[in-house]
Amino acid sequence: MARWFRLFEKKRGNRRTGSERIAGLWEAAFFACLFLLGCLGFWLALRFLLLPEWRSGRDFLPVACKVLETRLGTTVREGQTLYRPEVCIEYRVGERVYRLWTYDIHTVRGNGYSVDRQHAERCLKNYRAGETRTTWYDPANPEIAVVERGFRWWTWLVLLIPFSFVVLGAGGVSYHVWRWGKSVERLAVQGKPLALSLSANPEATLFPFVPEIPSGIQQPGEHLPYRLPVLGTPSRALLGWLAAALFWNGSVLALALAVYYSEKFDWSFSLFLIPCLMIGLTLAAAFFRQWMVTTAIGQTIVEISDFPLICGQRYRVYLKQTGWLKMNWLEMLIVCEEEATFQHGTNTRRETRRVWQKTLVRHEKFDILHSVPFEIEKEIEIPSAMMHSFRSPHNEVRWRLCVRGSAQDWPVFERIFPLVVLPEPSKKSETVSWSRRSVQTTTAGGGASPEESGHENAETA
Amino acid sequence: MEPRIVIHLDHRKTVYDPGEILSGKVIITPADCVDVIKAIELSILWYTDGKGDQDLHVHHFRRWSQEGDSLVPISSPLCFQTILPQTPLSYDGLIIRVRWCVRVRVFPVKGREIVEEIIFRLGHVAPAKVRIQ
Repeated sequence: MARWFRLFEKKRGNRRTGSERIAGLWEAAFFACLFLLGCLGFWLALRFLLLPEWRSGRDFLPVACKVLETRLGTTVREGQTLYRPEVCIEYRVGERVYRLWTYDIHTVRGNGYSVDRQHAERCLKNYRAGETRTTWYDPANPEIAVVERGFRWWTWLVLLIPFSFVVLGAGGVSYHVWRWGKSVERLAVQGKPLALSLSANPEATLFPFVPEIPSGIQQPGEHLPYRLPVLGTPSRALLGWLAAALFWNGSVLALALAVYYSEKFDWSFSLFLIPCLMIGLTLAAAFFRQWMVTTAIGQTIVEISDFPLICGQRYRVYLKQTGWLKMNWLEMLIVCEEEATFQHGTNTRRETRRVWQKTLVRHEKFDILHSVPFEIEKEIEIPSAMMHSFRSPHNEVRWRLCVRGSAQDWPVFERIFPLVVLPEPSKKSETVSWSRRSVQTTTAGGGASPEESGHENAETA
Repeated sequence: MEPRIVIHLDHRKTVYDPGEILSGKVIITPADCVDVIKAIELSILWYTDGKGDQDLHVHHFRRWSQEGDSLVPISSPLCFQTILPQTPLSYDGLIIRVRWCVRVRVFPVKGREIVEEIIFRLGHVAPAKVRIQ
């Protein structure tokens, strides 16, 4: 059975099971069910909530009535007592005299209960036995009459539930109808985000699907022309630990104070509080440790002679490590990695493989002082015929400079500096070499003309 | 009779440089099957293959379809030509592959669509090997 009729798709190595067409049909059917459910909910809300209220306000006719008695109506639903106001009135329509317990249209229809007893009692205070009031009766059925008209605000809120079902269902169905019978290529050129581009228009750049140059690269260097931005700065980790420690300890303190002032503080709560306090202390300790690491290890600065880099060319790299440390070792690597993102069941997973790595610098057993930072300049070569930087929604080839170090009494630290590597200029290509200035302008959002990019989409009837 | 698709790249090339012109023609045989073809789509595209979910980007797209009485013009070869972009280059990585191809889809009036594609390489990137120096 499963061989012929697969309900869902799985990835097995490089191939996929199941049929996209059948999966699409199932999805469309699911959204159609949502839409029908929403329509049904709409009809029920209109039929039983809004329409009776609307009719009582518009169609019902006024007539004088005599209030005979009032009472607090009660009922028990799911173990909870609910209340509603009830007024006994007597009124005459034509030759016939009617007597009934009523309040608003919901009361007449057997509902109108709420948990708010005080509200029901307040409503009843407006009615006194023996007084004459106006009542509104249904001309189609004079046995139905109300003493209060109007809309309840919550009935409109109820409409939001079926409305959301209708919107989701209609959106899903129209999306699948739009896709039906179209090839993946046609969907891709008609604006379907099958391959979400990273820049607004990948064709507008000279190098489509090469990641944009980080804005931090615009910072000029002191030793070499460009200073590289660092990924995941330590200050972010510091702020993260601080926020976690403040949130946890604040929550525990608020809970403890609330319990203390409610006079329910007993030994069982103290037992519960002990592990909470230990977690809070651990978070605070982690924050202080991170703070010490950040301040003691100091700033890592990497500068480069040119940017972006081009395969097959040589560059100068400058490394500066500040702090006050007794270093066991410090190294700088240039790496090229592949990262693939894929769905595994309901989880999104990433796998990274290092394709190429070269150690540029490695020094062991030395001291870094506040007044004398560690500085070194080296030459690097990006090998020719290597893959350039590439990023699509689920796949990435990235180049990085990694600075790793180990200092006495401190954990191993690693700081990563992203690089952008362009392909080697082709000899046959019209663009034999590209200046870095033009590359920066183009990738930063300036546009090459469609003729330059060579893109052409057409649909001919 | 079921239509058959033949894709020819000019100069019989399989490796192109970025910025180079890729041209060729598509021949649908037999020529008298025009009545049974609803539409033909030609795409020059790249897609990823490997561990990650597939990404796809169409660089050049052309569609010929029946509109009213006008039939799909398959009596003569369907020619195409485009300037290839600078990136992404074809790549055979460890867990990622980038592949360029010319793909033709024929949509018959009845039955399932017929797909034919021809792979070519853009650029001269060497296959990846783990190299730690």
